[in-house]
Amino acid sequence: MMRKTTRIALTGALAAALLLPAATARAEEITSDNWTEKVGFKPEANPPGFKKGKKIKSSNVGEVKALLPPSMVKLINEYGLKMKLNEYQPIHPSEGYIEATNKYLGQTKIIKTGKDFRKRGLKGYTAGLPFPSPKTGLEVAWNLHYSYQGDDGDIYYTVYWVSANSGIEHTEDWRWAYIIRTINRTDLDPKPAIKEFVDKRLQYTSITYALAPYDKKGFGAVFSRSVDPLDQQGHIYVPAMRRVLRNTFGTRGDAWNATDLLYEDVRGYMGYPEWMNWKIIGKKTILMPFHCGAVPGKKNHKKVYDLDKKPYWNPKIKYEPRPTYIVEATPRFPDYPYSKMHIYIDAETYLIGYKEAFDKKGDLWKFLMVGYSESPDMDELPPVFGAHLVIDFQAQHATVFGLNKVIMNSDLDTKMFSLSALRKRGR
Amino acid sequence: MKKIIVSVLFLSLFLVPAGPVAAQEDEGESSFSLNGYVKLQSGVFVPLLSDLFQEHESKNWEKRYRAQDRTWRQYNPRRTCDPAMTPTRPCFPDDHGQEAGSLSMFRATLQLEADWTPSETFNLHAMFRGVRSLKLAADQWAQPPEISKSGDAGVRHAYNQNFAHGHYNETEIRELYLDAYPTDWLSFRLGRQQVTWGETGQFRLLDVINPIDSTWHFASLESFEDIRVPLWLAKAMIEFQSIDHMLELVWVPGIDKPEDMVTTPLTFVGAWGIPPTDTPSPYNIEKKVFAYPDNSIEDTMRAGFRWKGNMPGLNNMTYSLVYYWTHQISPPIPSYFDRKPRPEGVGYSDTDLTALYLTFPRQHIVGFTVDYTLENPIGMVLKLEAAVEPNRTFPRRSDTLYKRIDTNPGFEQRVHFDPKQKPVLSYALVAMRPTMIRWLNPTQNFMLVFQFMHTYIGEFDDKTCFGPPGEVKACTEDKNDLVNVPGYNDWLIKEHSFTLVFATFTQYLHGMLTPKLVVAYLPPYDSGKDDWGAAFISASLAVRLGPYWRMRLQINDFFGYDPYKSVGLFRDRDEINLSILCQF
Repeated sequence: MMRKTTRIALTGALAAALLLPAATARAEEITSDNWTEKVGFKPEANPPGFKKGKKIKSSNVGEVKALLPPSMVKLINEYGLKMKLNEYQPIHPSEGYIEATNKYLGQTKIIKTGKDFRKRGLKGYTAGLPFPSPKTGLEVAWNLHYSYQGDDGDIYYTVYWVSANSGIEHTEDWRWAYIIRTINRTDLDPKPAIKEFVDKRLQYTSITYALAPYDKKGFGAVFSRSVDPLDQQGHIYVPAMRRVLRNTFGTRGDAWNATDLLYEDVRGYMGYPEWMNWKIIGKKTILMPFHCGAVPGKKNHKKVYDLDKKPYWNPKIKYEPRPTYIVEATPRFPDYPYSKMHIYIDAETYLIGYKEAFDKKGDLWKFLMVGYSESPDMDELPPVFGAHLVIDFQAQHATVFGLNKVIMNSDLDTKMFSLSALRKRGR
Repeated sequence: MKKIIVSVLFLSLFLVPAGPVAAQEDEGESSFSLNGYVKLQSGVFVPLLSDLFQEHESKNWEKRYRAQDRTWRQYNPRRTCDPAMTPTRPCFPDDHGQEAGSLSMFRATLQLEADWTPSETFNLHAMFRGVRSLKLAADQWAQPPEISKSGDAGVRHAYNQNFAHGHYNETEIRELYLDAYPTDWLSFRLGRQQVTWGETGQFRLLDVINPIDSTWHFASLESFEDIRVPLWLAKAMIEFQSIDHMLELVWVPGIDKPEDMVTTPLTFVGAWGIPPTDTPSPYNIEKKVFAYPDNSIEDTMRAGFRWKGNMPGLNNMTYSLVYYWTHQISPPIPSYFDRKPRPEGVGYSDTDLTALYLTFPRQHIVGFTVDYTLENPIGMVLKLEAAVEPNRTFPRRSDTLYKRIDTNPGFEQRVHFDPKQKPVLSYALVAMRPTMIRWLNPTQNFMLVFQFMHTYIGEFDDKTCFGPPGEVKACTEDKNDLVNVPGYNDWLIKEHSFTLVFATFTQYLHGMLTPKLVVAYLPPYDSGKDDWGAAFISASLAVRLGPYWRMRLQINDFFGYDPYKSVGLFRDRDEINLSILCQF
């Protein structure tokens, strides 16, 4: 006969055994309040040399050198870039994205693909952040690949071709509408996927077309990206031919529209994780252009960039201390123009703030910056794409993107992204 | 002048909505846009490598006709002549040549284009084009339908020049159409427009809806958008989104000017026209009548459809099926002529004609296209386009024996050629590959395009037999009686003919410079064992100067063993030309 005290002790132990996982689970749940700690790490609130409102220029860049990529130091010292510092403000994704991260936590696994960089290297992923608190560079890369950017977007922008010596050489106006999450959706219905894209194994679709100047107007493209790490597929409309033509986007290292930007450089890196080898080379606080204060609008371009003064590309935006993974990416195929890239990935948003690209000799070639302004509503919308530039140091040339209008999560109609939509837009 | 005023007034109507809507959507797309350009194009004929930098000389000899063996014989000693005096004095060119340094073109173009989108369901589009050109000395070799009666060669040349000049100048609302989108699966485009079917760039196998006007420059050297003739037509597009396909229906009522319904004959001009033939007609023709499609809608209308979509289960393959019922828009076919009454009042002349009638017979065109993307490392787009013309009409030699007198009362003067119809299959294979050649261009790819076209004429060995009923018939082999271009009796049809094209372009200095190279080769037409065929090479450099100015320098070299076949017709048209454009 069990003694009463023993029975009580056993019951208590049993209850604890049952309740402990639940308690643990509740403690592990990611929320908007603990997002930063759970998925990345907090930055130093007041790193050495930092002060809110401080202006960094060549005379005092040494004070914050440790918080900047070498390219930013170069821009400050050699090109007159000035930085205005702001205090750190945490960013969390939408409620839908956080919910999906919790729901599918632990289900995503990396698959070793050996030398085959055309084989998908991930399984079990449905939606949300695949690897909170990543351990490896590849996990950081997958977090970048599936970072919260809303489910769709519609951006009107101006492209400036800028020479460091002579200023603006050429401009074009474009529209880029995209569904970045045709599957793996977190904000817009249907969640988690639009069925027609599941069947086609397409994770992204977009339409882009030129609005100006006249000889470029009407040139457009519809293209989509596979779940698998394959070349983009799509069609282009060529006004001079009055034709929609199938196109291949698979040439490695091809510049988009004769700019300084490769197709994969859009927003820092839009290639697939499987195409690179990834290694974390740093985990620290970096001054990055988040809450950068850039307001979309053509009349605001000169407030965002110093287009009137040499080198005619310097951004006039704000920077704040951000938790950052510095990742080195080296290409897995031999014909890539960059020998390596150093990518500065924000550990809260997993968006890229900076990228340094090196040529085949290992010399610094290009520097990319992507700036984000505050989200209008963090519970529903991502940070607003505020600034983007690519500087070719070797050619003393840059491509600057001025944002005119940015709309996120507007529930774009999938019919916009069809061959007939491209054809209907044409003359 | 009236046309200019009306056109400008019409376009200004678009400016009325521009005011209130200009302020709208200035960060996105405006609901109204007005763009345009002014372009100046000028070129000179310059003998280049193909001519070993030597001018071709026009060599023209007077001959007399011997009916018993259907031959023309040289006078002894040889007598020179002027082809412009044909047929008054039949003249047989051995070669044709343009004077080095003479203008190949000099034209100024103003183009205005407006779009107004008052709502998501409607869009109105208009394009105006005005062109003025200088008279060109080379146009003295134009061959108007009605020749000058003057006995003076200089007067005739001036007459030809004026006729050609009239073709260059233009003032018209080139395009005017309404786009309507009543539902998300149905759309219409109604009005004067271009409709482009087919996939291949250089070959118009299925690009058959709009004719072209390439009188002002060699067709392959100008954008088809600029040389197509827009037509008034109705187009409907029905989308089947669930299967990712669309059906396009086209109806051309034929309410355009009759001459706009067909490709402008290249005999109408001299600079970029075909030269006077080396086998002049045995007839003295007072005038040529181009019987354009006209009269009633039944005579003029054309219709067709295109079914297009992605191959089910294959994201990287698209196909289309096409059918079009139309007229044969080029070349015009000599179909019958009217003989002149004899002076003595009885019967009709065997050599003098009051009119030669050239028609544009009806035809069907059926075709398909397939395009497929091959992934990296091949990284290439392959296209196949095929067109079947089950009833293409071929003209007969001008001295054909196959003729028959019209037996209908009142038409005794009329003689019919009865041109022959044959089935024709044409197909083109295209491979397009963007390729990085880093030692030539470290930052931008070269677009490499290879095109191969094959045309097969069926029933090639058929014979045509003729003669009165009940009598032994004479037979002519079609392959010895049918020609490619009316009047060029030695340019007989071939069962198989091929064309190969290579083109490439790239960009430097962030798109400021765009060099381009096009090479085309056409194997020989059997002018003899030395005949290596014909070709042309075009090298150009386009320059972008800021947002408004564009320039293009082009060097074009034409090769041809035989000056009266294929691209050899243009072997004396080597050219350097420059165009300057200011857009807004």
